[in-house]
Amino acid sequence: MPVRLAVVPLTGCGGCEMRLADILARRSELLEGIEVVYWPLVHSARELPERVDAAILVGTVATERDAKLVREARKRARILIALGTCAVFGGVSSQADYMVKKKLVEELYGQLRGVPGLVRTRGVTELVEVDAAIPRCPPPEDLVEPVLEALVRGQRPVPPVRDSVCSECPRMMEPLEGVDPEKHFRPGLPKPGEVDPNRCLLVQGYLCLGPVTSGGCGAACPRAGLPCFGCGGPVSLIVERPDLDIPTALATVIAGLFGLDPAKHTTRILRTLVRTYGLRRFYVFTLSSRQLLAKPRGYARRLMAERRVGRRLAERV
Amino acid sequence: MPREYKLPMTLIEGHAEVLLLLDDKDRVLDVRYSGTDVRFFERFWVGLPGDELPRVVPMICGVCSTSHHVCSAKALDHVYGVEAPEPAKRLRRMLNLALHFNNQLLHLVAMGLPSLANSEVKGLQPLAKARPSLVLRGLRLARLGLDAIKVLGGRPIHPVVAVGGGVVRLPPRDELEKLAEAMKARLGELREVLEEAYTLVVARKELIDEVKLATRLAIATRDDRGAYELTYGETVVFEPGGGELARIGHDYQKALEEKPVEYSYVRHVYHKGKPLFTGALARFLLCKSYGSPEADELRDRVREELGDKPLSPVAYHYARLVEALAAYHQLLEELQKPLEGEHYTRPARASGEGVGVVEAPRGTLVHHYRVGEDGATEYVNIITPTAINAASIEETLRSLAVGEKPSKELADRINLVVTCYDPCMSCATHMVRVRAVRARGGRR
Repeated sequence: MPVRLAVVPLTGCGGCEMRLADILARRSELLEGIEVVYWPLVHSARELPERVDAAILVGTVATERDAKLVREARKRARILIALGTCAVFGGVSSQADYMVKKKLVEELYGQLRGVPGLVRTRGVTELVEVDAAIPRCPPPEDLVEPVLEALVRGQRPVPPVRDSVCSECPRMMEPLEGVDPEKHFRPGLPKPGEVDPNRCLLVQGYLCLGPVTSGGCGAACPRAGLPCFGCGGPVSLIVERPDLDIPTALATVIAGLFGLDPAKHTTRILRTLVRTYGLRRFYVFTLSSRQLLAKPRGYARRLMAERRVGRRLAERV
Repeated sequence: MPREYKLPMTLIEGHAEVLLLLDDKDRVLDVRYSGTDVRFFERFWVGLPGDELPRVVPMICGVCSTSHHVCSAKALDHVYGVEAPEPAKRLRRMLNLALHFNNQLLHLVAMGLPSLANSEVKGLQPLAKARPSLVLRGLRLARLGLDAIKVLGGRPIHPVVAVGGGVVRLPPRDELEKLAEAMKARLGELREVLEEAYTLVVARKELIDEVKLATRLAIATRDDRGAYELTYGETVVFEPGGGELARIGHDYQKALEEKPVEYSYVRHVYHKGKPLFTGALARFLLCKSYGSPEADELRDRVREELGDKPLSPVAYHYARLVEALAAYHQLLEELQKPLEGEHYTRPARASGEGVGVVEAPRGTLVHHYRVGEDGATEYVNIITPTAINAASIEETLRSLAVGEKPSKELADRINLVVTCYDPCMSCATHMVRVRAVRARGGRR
């Protein structure tokens, strides 16, 4: 019996669905093991059926309708997967929560009637329990294929674990001796021809989130000449350890690079980073994720508080 | 009690609703096309670095991320007061061609052709069972476009290499050669797939006469000699069979008016108060040549079949077939020329205002930015093809549905027409629902 599969799109870009369609076309034996029962992009089924073996949620929860669909999917599917950074951490759309959405709607559209109401942007994992959560934007094929293979066998997939983007990056990370970390970092993207193509971008003074971001992308950005901006979501260690947060973990790595004692210098480096880049850069894909809002030092929380008071607070680290 | 039934519809990218307003005799009084969710890309990057925009805006849409990427880099060139060097422009053009090939073919086999099927359940999987040679081969061929984007742009979905001033790197020559070889080897397969797709589209030829476009104005891009050009051409508002009415440049706001409507998260776009259609059909009607003899031949065959100016949304599918072939040929030709030399120009200034215009698969795309002295984004305005098409979709649905009684047939027909336009609601929504509401007291 083929596995009754639903692909449930929430608010998002469709990139994860592109990835799924691509894999199913290339590996038609997987397509044969599946009966698509709901997938609005490529199937005419109008509602999520009552009985679903497995459901894959893509996109973020941003409207009341999204939230309802997520809960419905949990009730009806035996195995539920959250696919992509949006479904797991809220994704890039969560930047809208830095603003006041109600005001944005008024500015852009004036009065609206009959459209679904908006809620705080968040990953599906805040509403329901999932059987596997696979971030990255979109997750690479070699992470998605084992998930589909497990589903076709009727098994719960084991969520893949990957090291940081750095582990896939060909650039050399060498220690920095005798450099003042406060004078090391500069704003803006590296300009082609002005950076060493073989050396680590952090070492060259650019904000690269590689050490704190889940790999799997093959370090596509640093390979091309751009620093990592975090689209894969934080590495699992940051998610699992309540004491670790994205900016603090990065500052610790940088302290190590400078040969400094992290216990003594992390805060100073963190201040430099925040002064140069602003805190939002660390949470481009995770701003309103409960997992990060709950961190004890609460940088994401401070960012969300700025929204309410309408001015920048977070500079005071 | 207003009666309300929901007939959800599918086979488009993203969410939208079609609302049917009924009079007291249960006949359709008015139709509304509504985008039902929103992500605020035009607002949330304000305060964050402008130079990052080309890497962020692709996330508006995973299906056409490459067009947003290229359009964004063009807008930043303008912001920074520089012109990208020729090799960078060529790389951007190749990226956009690869996406158009991927997208037109993908739409046909995954959404367009399934929507034309006469079966109760329509979809990629049922069609793949009936015609594996078309659907599975078509999807695998479409993947070649993504492979090309990966080589050219660093990632297959959400590419990264284009920046204001050019591109950060050119792809290694051996990878370009490998890609060209792969594309050459599969040209025969592509011809077979397109031929089979053509047969299926022509099998529903009666639809061309049954469904007509209710709008007369279109917007598309061509080069200065009138040939197919997606990335560095001239964008014009025109009347098919008539003349060109306006050029869309940096002052796009003179020719395109954006109007919010109270029932949608998608703002409508008009030219002097009139709706426009855009996308593959608009380009088909505008371009004198597709820059590839084989694509021009296919275009001529379509013209023989449908006449010179097929003004039906169903003709979009024919235009997609021609475009898939044209983009494939043009990309292959570009891949075989050496791509080397200077690929980046340093910004002449840190701040400024800029507009980029390109053709995305679904039509004309405009990005407009303002960046401040500190490099932070101050203003973003984006007009997507789907926003341009929204008013046209609505007008065409109105001409189809007003005065009719809501029925399953009508709902199916509405869905079929919406799929023709291939709306991409990602920046807005995820599923089309047809909702019938009886207007109170029969008033409009």
